[in-house]
Amino acid sequence: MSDATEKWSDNQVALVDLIDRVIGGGVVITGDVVLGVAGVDLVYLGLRLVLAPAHEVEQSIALGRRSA
Amino acid sequence: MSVSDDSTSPLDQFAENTLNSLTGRVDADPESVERGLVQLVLTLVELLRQLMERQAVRRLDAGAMSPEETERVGLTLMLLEKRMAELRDYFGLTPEDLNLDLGPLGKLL
Amino acid sequence: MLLYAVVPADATAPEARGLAGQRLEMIRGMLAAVIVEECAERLSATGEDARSFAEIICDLATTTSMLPIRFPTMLPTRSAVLAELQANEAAWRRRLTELDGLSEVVIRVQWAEPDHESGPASNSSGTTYLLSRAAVIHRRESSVAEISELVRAWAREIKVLHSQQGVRIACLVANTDVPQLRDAVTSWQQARSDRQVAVSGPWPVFSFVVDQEVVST
Repeated sequence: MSDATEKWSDNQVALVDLIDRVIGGGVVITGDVVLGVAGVDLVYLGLRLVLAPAHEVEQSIALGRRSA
Repeated sequence: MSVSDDSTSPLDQFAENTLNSLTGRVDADPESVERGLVQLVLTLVELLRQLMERQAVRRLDAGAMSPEETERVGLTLMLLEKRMAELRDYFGLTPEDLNLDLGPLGKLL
Repeated sequence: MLLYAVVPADATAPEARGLAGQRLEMIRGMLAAVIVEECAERLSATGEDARSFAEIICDLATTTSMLPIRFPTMLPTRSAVLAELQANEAAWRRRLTELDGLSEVVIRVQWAEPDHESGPASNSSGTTYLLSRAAVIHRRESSVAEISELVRAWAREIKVLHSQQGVRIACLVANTDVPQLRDAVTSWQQARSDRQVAVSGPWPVFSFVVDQEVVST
């Protein structure tokens, strides 16, 4: 759209919401996610493992081993 | 990594910023690993800020703070928000960049 | 390969092409299957790609019940995909059945005054600041409460999404109920001139792929 000061049309808002859901929602697969050695992903996964309850950690580790 | 120019619509820019913040990067160079770490740390600080703010508002609602306390807590939170904005600017991050999915932590809010 | 969605194992194979121009394929497990696209390289995920992905997902959703997979998710081999299926397909199949005939609708509420002051703080006192933050939090919370109540008749599940400005609420709704939900929200807004409301969707169920009740399997 042209004028930045105009509020977005309903369609643009909808599209923004849709894209947000596509990258913020959906099934999360945390096995061997091949996005390369990327800073955010690595640290985030580590965080999940560190802060998850013990039984979830075991599950994550088992999953990681299987996918390796 | 795509390059944005003046003809990029606000929509595209928004989508790209959000995408970049979530997927972090395309390349795996040390700079972006560092950037990802900064991003994570600031996201956590922002989460804490929001938690504290929410807690303060609860106490305010409940009438559990004296005027002096209200002033002190309000000032602290105000300075914290200001400092967060400065840190974001310093590292070249937008508020959307601090919107990482924190999994179980995210449910604290 | 880029992963698109989880579908029932007996779903018909898609006819479409993916982002990278390759034909979409199905990798089938016993109970569920995953729709994938072979990609030579890792994607440089851009806004354009996300948009194309979203369009493909929305098209696919018209042909089969599905759980969209977060974008971008890539796995290196077929066997990696099969391993994920083995680990998760029972839960996925259950959820697919629960979500049959349901879609996601997102309600967005925004106020004219922004939630955050972007310039230097005009508030000179901590008290004024805290009061203004309290006002923002209160208006968000009361909107969430009001809308939750409003859509209760049609929304099986509700999820409050993160939002920089205002509030966003995702609702899980039967396709047939979407028009009524929209009407109810429109009426709600008309009674309130200080805010804007937008309803988008119906979409595939991005926010509801996991049963909220289940903490972990």
